[in-house]
Amino acid sequence: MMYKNNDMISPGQFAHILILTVVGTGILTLPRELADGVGPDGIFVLLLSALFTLVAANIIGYIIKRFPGKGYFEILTICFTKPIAYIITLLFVVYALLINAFIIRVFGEVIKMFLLIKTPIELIIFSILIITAFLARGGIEPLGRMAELLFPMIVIPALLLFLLAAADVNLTNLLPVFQASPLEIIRAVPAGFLSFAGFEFVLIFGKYLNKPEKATKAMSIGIGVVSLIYLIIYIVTLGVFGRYQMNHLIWPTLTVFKVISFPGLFIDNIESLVMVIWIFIVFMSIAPMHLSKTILLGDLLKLRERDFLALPIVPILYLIALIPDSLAETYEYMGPFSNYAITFFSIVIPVIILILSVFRKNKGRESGSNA
Amino acid sequence: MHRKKTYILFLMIFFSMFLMGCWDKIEIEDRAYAITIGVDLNQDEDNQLSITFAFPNPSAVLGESDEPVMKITGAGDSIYEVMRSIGTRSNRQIYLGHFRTVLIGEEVAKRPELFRGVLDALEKDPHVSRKVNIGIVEGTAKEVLDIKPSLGPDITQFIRQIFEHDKLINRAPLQTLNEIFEFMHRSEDGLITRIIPGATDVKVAGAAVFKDFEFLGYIGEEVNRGLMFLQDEADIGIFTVEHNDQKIPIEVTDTKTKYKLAQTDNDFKIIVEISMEGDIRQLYFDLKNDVLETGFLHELGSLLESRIKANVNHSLGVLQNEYGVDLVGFDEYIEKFHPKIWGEIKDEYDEIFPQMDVVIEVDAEIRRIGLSK
Repeated sequence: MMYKNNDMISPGQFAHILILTVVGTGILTLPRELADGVGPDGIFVLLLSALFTLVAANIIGYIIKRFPGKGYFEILTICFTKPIAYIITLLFVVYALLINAFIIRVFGEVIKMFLLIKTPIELIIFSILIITAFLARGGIEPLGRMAELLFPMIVIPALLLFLLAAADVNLTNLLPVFQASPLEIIRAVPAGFLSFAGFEFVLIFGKYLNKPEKATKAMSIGIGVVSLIYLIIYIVTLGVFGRYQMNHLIWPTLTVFKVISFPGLFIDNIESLVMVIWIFIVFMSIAPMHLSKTILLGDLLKLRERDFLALPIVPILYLIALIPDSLAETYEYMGPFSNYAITFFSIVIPVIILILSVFRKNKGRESGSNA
Repeated sequence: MHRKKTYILFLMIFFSMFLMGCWDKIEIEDRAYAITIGVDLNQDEDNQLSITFAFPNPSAVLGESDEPVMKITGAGDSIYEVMRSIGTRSNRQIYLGHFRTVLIGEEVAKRPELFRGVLDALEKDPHVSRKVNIGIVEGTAKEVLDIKPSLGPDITQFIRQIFEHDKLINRAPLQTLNEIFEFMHRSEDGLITRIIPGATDVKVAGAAVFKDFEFLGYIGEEVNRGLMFLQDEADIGIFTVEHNDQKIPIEVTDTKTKYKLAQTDNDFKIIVEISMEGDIRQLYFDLKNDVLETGFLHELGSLLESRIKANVNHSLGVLQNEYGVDLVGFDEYIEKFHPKIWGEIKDEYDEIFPQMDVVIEVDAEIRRIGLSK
């Protein structure tokens, strides 16, 4: 309560938000997608995509540094012109809506399959949306604190569970490596890069960072932690299943917990425990997206008070999430969309901003403005 | 103040409305926790499978009933269809979350389309653990579930415990679903434990051989034992060697198997190196000559070596000549450690395996001789 309404987050909170936003639903399919075409060489795909993401994330961090206290819309207005800024921001809102709806749908399907078999998916989706809207309504500060609070609650039990599953890991399943040609590996990198999607959202939160000069450091640490988490998941999952079996599993990361059994104990279904962690992960992945939409819409509509926007987004998200007929269709719709949109918003736009800002700054210095 | 309290009370009542509507609430006593599932062929044309669910009887635990296991059998085309149809004549719902063993009747295993259906049902179900054991019954699964074991608890626990203990005997492969799925997804061949029903007990011995999901037949316990050595799965086992017309049982421990690949110009051979330690369990009472003599132990060691080598070679021969299926996992080894060679041979591996040159090298050391000289 002490710092209420100061609307600022520390670089640590910033990194926490980044990590939890990125570790979203991609985590479920990650091992299969990495090993899909190139087999055990997927580990190189993962490392390369991590490196690639690190560069892209640092560009975003650099932009935040360069425009301290400026929102996404303001940055766009400075770099492009106002009409273009409107268009891009609007596109970003649409993009955020779709990706958010996708995550919620997958979340609903998973919960329905593992936990609440008879509960209508509509209700599952609606309940998670209501609580995210509640958090998003509070603004950036509660989000930052929530991220800090939930991070250990997610990571520690998840690591313990993976440690238990590691008893069944057969490390030879990680072989043979160096079988795919470098070209094949590079071709697979975009798919790996998709699992890191979500880091572009923090560009919107850069405005609230109390020490903008630490943005790049926070970004690097965040992406580093995410890469480490992904690496552990990949090694354990591939080690347990082997590449051939993994291709048959929709969500290898969830199935991996089915091999865990405590000898002599009656508890051998830890799905409910896994689901608790999973709910936290999804919650902390969609809450920042929800908040970013509220912020952007507020900017678009030139509103001073924008917290009330969190709630009207809920029915829109709810309806979009229910459009696909099946899980297969959900992934099908999302595939091509995410390929282009994520690249556009996480690489193309930041790079253009970076180039233009360097260009503008020189111009700005001439005219004496501090933009 | 008063108004505020009313307001809070109203809010509490209002929000408590969101707490109801628990669609998935099932009381624990309304659930039947199936421990073992038996899958048999039904003679009926419409319903191809006859499924038996066995679950512990809670009243037996309380001492109110003598029947420790309850069983329900139903006919249908799949496990799930039967599960639902059984719901109409049972007061409890069948739940698979804790189930441990699935027994598949021989007749089902012989029909790939049914067999693959059962395997896929197990892989798809979000509640079925991947630690479940699976066995092919020589006979019908129902037969096994009807047995009342003379030793030990009810049949469901009995089978489960056999799967846990039998690691010490090496008479049957005891893989979990995860291991079987991994093997079968990779090569479409596989080895599944054979279960032989007896009068008052059940025996786990040997294994059923599958090639391209087709049931080919069984391998016996001896063949399986050699196979376990080849796969580095062998644990403690007793081998009897003959020395001067005297049968000496030796307990084999710490076995370790390593593969090597030796390449010649356009051919290759696999060298299997098996190393182990042995303990003498029994010699001859009041033996005059000294057992604590390295020469004698070496002699026994080489006897043990040739005994195991013969066993392993026999198993390999059965796989190569009789079935022509690589159940050892040499293909996996070549693929992982010699991917270049694998790239050349993977398409015709089925033809190559029966002619493949495999050299068995056994190295046995007798370490301990018990308490007496």
